[in-house]
Amino acid sequence: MRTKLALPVALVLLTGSLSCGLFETRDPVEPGVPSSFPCLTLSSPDNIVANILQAYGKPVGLGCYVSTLANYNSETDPGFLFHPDPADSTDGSLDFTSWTKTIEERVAENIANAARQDSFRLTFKLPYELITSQPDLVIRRYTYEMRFNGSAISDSLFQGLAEISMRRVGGEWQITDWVDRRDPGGTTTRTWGYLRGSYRVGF
Amino acid sequence: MKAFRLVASLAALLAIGLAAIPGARAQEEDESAMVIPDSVFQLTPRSPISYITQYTQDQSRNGWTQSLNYGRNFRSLAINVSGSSGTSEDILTYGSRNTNGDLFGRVDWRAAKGWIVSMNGRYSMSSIADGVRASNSEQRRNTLSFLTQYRLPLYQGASVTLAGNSDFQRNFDVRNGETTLGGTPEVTRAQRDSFYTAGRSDGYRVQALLPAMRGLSFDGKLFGNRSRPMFTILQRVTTSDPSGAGAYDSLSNVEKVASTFSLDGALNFDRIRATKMSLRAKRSTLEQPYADLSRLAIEEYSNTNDAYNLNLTAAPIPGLSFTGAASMNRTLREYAEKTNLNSLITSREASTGAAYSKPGTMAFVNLTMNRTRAERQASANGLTLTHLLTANFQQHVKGGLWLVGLGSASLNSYRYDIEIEVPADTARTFSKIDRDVVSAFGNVGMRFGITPRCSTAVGFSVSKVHNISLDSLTSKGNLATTIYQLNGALRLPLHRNLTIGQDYIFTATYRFFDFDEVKNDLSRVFRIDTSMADTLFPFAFLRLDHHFYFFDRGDFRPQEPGGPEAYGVAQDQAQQTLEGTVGIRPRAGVTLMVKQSMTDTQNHDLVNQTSQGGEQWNLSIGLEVNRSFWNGAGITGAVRREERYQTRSQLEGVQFKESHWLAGVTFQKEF
Repeated sequence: MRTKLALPVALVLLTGSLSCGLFETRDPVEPGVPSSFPCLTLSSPDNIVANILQAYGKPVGLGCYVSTLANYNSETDPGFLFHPDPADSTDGSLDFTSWTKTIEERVAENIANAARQDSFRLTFKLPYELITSQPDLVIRRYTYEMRFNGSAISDSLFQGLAEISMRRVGGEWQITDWVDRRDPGGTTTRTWGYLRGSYRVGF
Repeated sequence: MKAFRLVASLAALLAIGLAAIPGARAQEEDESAMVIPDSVFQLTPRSPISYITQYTQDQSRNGWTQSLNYGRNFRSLAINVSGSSGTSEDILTYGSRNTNGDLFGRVDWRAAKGWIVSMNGRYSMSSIADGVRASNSEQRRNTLSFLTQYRLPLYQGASVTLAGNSDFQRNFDVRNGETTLGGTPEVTRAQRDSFYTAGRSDGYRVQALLPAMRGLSFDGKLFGNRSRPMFTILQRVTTSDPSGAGAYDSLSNVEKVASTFSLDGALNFDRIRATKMSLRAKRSTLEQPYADLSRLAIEEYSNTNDAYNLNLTAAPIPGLSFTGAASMNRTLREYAEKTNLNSLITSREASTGAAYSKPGTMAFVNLTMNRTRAERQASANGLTLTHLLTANFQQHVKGGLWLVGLGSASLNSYRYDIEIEVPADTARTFSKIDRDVVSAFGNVGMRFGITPRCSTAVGFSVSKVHNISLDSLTSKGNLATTIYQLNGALRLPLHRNLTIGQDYIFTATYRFFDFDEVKNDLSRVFRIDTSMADTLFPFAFLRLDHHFYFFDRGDFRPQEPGGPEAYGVAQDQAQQTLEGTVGIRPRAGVTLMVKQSMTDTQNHDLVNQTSQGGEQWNLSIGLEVNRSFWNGAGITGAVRREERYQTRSQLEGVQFKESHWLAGVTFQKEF
């Protein structure tokens, strides 16, 4: 028995000793000015939507917005996924492949940094369309409008439909799927997905 | 002679390596453009025509796809034709609709020994309409290709294959949009943007397989093509204004150059017993103009990639093996118009691993280190370091008892370039968005088979993730999350027709903020799932499920300065679901199923001393089919009607009633 276990244990110990120090992190600087961003707890789908509305497009709200997105766990549980409008997806000039939380975080950061120089307003029109409401799953479809006043972002108006799937995992609600669609009743075909795709930089 | 072959192989690889030195032109290998293998002419018995159709529907969309395939392979002739179509539609009020279709045909003819002539054609289209009058767009792609290939046998086992091809392409892209300008009567403006692209692409390809000496061989590929497609751009604007103000046509023609080039060489060495080594160098370039409908302009995209790979495997004794790999990669992407998408990514990666396997024991350990640098991007330039260690073991102890374990550790360190600011912060040593993410996961478990059909399993895992932002503006959110999970499972077949199963999960999640301790919290989840399945008769079954879920959360911090950390519950939730299912199988492969469930949920807010709860009833009636019919026809699928009623929704605060159809059916037939 001991000889059976000896070799695998030795392999693990050998690699463990070789890898010592490879997982050291850097020391952060203690926070200076206390952050006062009012991020709501993820105890309900309403709080998630409220966090999106108040945090998106603001560099200081980035952490709050990202906290609403489900983490990657495995191949079968990939966490947050963004699905663009088919017309945006086949446009050819934008890349929407493998749009996970990592990509969404980077793009949201790029948009927030760009929008810092513009005035920015995001609205979800009410009432929303309730597609399903289950104990652990809620899917809502919102009609949204996003306006930029300034010159940093070339297009000033983005409209569309956001079909947001929210799941409860471990007591917290998080967004697992975000389906973007053009709004047939809108005045522009520029969508949030188009804006996102335009700010997916370098990866 | 051997020396000559060895020198020739090394020289070829060296030439590719030198050609792949960064700084040259664009590249991308076209993996689909390899030479035609002889296996295409392997005689196969008569192949039937295959037809598959599928229909799906859920709460918001439906879709229908069809495909038809036929292929025959003779000793000197191979034929393949296929067609497919698909459509999907938003069944809610907005009515967006996607349609696509594809027709493909290919003929390969072996005109003489080693000489192949081939022709293929493809027609494809896709159409997207957004509903109402917002916009619609359409794409068509037509390609007709001719190829000739000759395989030249050299000395023993060595060969060179030469091929040339011409592709004729006709592409069409159009987008229609309509907007309302107001006025009485209402004035509308319609815009139609279109691209027509026509071109001929001539290409060549060479593949060489050169065994230099026993245990050493060289495998090389060269591929390239070039064309000058002509783009015709037409914008047509019309208006319902009787005066015709604002209407116009705009037409232009633009010619661009498109090319691809790929050079790939590999040296494979396996002369030493139980050891294999390969060294590969590859360079590819791509210059690709394409129609950018969103800007109504020609975008010119180029991609250059250089890659080197070294792989080693060794198995010194039976059951034990070692692997090692190293790679370098450089990718330059450039756009003429959308320069904000440009990037230069260089990466280096090394990995090493060991694996041990014999009856009753299995273990492996692997360490990977990656260093990737991003440059020339509009933002987020910098270095990313990734270290990943994984280990796994499985040990048979005795009888039906097994021990299993899994562990991993990782570090992702994002080190962005420091942005120059005014006034300059000379003391800054990292970017404002620099961060490190370190994680570790460990799991040990036991599996015990009491009898061949009765078993139990217990597992315990710990995972920890620490997110660290370095800058003082963001470090307040630095958070360490630790999750402890205990899970168990029991499978107990009481009788030939009666089975009971139970799963238990207990999870505790601690969150500790590095610089914001007042936000530290704890949440716990306890869950028991019980199922009892009974096969009453050969044509029917009964299943009863019970799910219990309990969750609470609250602060986890000292109640007084310097005191011990204590858990203060702020919220709890209990939920129970009872579910009964009856299934009847009137015929083999056909099941009629009725499922009824009731979920009761109770929420308690212990801070505000409030409670709320409600019940949700679900009814599902469905038909599942998995049957084969005559002459290779078969149908697989399910159709379900789902009804849901909520007495008082905790989530939406109102009564809620929902019903919808779900369907997914596939029919296939061979002719």
